[in-house]
Amino acid sequence: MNQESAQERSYLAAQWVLGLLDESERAQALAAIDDQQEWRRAQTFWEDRFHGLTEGLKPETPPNHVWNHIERAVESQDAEGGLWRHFFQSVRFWRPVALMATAAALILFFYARAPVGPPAVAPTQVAMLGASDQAPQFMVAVDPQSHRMTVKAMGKVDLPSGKSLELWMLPGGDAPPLSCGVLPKEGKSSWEMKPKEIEAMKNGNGLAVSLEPEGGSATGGPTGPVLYQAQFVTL
Amino acid sequence: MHSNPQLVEFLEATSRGDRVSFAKLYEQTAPHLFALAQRILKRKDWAEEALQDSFLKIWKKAADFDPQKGRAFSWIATIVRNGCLDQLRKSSREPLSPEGIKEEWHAAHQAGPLDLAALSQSAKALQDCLKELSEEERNTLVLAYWRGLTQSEMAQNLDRPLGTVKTWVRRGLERLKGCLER
Repeated sequence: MNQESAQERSYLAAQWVLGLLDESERAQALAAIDDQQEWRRAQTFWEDRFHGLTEGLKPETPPNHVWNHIERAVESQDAEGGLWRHFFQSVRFWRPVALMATAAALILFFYARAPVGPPAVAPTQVAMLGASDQAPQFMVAVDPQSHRMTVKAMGKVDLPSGKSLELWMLPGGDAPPLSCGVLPKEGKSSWEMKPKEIEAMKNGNGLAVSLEPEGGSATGGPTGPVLYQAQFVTL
Repeated sequence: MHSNPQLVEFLEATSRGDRVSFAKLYEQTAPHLFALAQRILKRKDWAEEALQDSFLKIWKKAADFDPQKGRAFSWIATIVRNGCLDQLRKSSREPLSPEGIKEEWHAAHQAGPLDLAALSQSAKALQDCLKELSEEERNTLVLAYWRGLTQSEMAQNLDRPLGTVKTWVRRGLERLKGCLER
């Protein structure tokens, strides 16, 4: 990382934190991110500093009904299973789950080689995509029988206008990434995989998501920054 | 308060669904955050609404807070400030006319008699460094924090060319960073 780009990153992060960028400038800033962790660090630097401005304000206790409302809302969410939902959305849940899934995949890998006969149902391949320090944004699952790939957005994906997220299969070696299409901004989408994609899934290096112009890359290969990457695990 | 280590414990317990810790978190931070919300939204009822929505978000997202990557109060204050600014943008609830914004820009850093002894080291450094900026640079950055106006909106409201506002922002941020890192 040279000093010039570190300065530019800090400058963009400060503007981002203050809210000075309009939509197209935010998209440009996103496209210029070359290191997610450094970008987050730059944002945190400015957030920590600028929130110092609030210390000049005189604290004022809010009326009691504000807390009563929050308490009631939390109770009703818990009654609807909201506690589990917020736990499932958290990175603290997914980190150990990802590790467990990897461990399970390894166990299955070794046991599948043992001569105990073929499994009744072939195992599903799953990948979770998201920033390493945040809850996953997308879950990708492949049905081993029909070779249908299903992608589910775990929440509403907030993207700058004129931008899409595109999913890529990484075949490994020198082979270029294969586009699996544009990711849904919410809900899920499902499609039948092409033979090349099935082959790449079996032998490749997992999946990647890049930021592209709306509708996806026009070149057939990724043009924007890679935001997320993940390996398939076998369940 | 702003670097209170207890907040980290409360947030961690909140992420496990501990409502008592969540209540303590609210008790300790809500007065500061209510002041922040009122400063942005200018109306008590809107500030109450923003505080409610923000604390529900904090309840749901507490597990995403990572103490290695920033201070607890900053994490919470970012949620509240963003909630207030979203409220302004989405519902066109601009409580200030362009004239009001202009006045606020001129007064942006006349923060009144600050109790310097009560400020954290980091806030004191910010105040000191802001004084090294030109008045335009300082007021633009401070107004951006309170109002979340884009550079184009700022230029429009202040009747200044966009290029001028961009120069104030760039120079102001460069000088501020240089001073904060000294």
